[in-house]
Amino acid sequence: MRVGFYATGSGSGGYRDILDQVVWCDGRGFASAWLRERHFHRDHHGRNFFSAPMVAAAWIAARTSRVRIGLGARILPLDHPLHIAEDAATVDLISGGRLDLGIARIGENDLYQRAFGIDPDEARSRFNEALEVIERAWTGAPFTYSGRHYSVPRLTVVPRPAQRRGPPVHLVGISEATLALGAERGLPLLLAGAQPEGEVARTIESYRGRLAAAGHDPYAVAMPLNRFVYVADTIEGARAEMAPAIADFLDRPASVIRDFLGSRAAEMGEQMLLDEVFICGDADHCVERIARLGETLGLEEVLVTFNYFTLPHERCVESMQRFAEEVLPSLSEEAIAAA
Amino acid sequence: MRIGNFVMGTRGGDYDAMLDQVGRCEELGFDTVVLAERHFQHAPLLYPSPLAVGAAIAARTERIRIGTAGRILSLDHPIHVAEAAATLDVLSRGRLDFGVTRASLDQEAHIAFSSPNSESQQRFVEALDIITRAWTENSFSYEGEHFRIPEVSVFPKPIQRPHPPLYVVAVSPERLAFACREGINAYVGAIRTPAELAEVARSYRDGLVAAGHDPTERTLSVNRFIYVSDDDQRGRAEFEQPFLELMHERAPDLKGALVAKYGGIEELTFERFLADFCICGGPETVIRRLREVIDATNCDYLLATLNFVTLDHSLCLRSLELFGSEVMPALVPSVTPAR
Repeated sequence: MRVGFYATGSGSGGYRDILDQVVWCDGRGFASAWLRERHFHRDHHGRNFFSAPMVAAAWIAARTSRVRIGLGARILPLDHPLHIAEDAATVDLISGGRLDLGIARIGENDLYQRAFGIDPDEARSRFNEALEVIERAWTGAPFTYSGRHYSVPRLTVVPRPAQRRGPPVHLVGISEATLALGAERGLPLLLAGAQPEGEVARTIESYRGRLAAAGHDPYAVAMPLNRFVYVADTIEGARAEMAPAIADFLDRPASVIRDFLGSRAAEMGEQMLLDEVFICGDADHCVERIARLGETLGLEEVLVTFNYFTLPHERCVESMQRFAEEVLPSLSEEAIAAA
Repeated sequence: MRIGNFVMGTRGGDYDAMLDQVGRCEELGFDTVVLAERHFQHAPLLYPSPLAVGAAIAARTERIRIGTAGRILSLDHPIHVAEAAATLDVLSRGRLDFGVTRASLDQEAHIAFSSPNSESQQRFVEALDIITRAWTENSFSYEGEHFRIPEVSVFPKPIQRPHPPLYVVAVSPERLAFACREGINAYVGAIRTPAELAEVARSYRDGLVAAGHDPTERTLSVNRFIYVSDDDQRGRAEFEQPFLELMHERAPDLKGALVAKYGGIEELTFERFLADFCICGGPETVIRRLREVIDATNCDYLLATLNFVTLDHSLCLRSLELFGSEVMPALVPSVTPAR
């Protein structure tokens, strides 16, 4: 099993603390490190979120040598696709071909679209067009594009990415239309950390069905699964440490919770989150839960979110160290090789 | 006197080579490294994503300041620019010099990004206003001709207070007048004769005073193409062909600007370039000619363009070493030659 690091936030640390965690992961058996894009969040004075994840990714690229760098995800309709293609190619070159570009259609709330002047009704068609423009831009050959939102005169986009077909594009999203588009193209799908295991299983089943229908081998398409993980000496200790994160999760707006839980929103509570979303316990518990998830869902890659915004930086680092020493070697051959 | 390296690419140099070169600049005692923004065919080794490249530089250096000259404000949404630049300021621990420019030298970028050059003046003014407000105000809203932004809090905030130093690329009298009016530092480009540079410097200072700003608190940066070799003869032998190739073949927009200002291409001989636009030779000659420019302009910030796509990377590095060890100490008494 491949294990990646999903860098989200910190209860006390700033950008450099979060990025230092990524650097720490490099060469310690983690296959990848992912950053998300969020705008306008006031909580923790905005320290927790990368509003310009590509800039942070370039910093990581220059400081690391092994870990793959993922954007999970860039929100395509908010930016011009030529900027996204140029930025991604730049980071791909600086990293020596280690970039994965996750793409999403919408952000956390509709303020994003209003602030960047995008008509919400156009987000879908902008997303589709942007993906086409980005893929053509990365060929390194001259091209033109004429769409409803983007018109590109004949030109060549430089630099050309280090990876021959460009950074692998990963899809982030759960809507029917997004899954349909991804399945048609056979794109890897990032499975959200906030989805309970039961919903994840349904998303996987649905996506695999669509992939097969579109002529792709459903088991050859990667689906990295994001999970919140905390490792401590005891299960009780770990649960106590994650209690603020769980409370924070339960406080999220009903609309957001419904997005992830669908018909099961009513079941949402502390117990359900402990059973199906958060993985917190001693090392053995974490190994067992993660290995079982991989097996039952047929997944080969897990992304670990060590900090759901609430943990102080030092606590998070302790948990990461414990994970790297006591959990990772049991899950990942790469981790054993690195050790 | 501050000295910066205006970084373009070199023949045979890739991003890694450029990062090594910048690392060496830091050791040699350069104060800044400055990146331009160019897109598409015009950017074989210039940077369509200068803030991402700046982040990679920040990751590999400790002290040198990182500048843009400049971000093209009319091609991007100002919130993205504010977020990306502030992210770079945070990651570099406050080393960003934020230089901006109104428009791209070529029309193609304006067509591709659907931002007509005819609108660029108004977009530039609105964007700069939005960026500084995003950096300095807890939250703000904006109603302009091109940008309408509901109340948002933009994160991260830059580390430098109230915000990173601003520079305007003063390619035209209008832009210079804008810099004077707003009291912003100015970059003056390489395509100007020494007499013109002196004239620009005088109008900049007069303009600042007329607008009520203190010229001693503002910086005027002058850019020169510079090549240093062991002696004048060898310098010319190594520099003439690559420099002419750059001007005649690889930089159609610079060539266009030259022809428009100074007459037909047949007049743009190497003798003419040597007299008016570039400095090449052994250290003594380079020092003498730079002193002439510095004395004539009274400028306190020299940007040295020591590299460009037609110059072999090895020649560029040797010129850089000689500049750092022989020329800089003569111009800046506080710089001791690096080993």
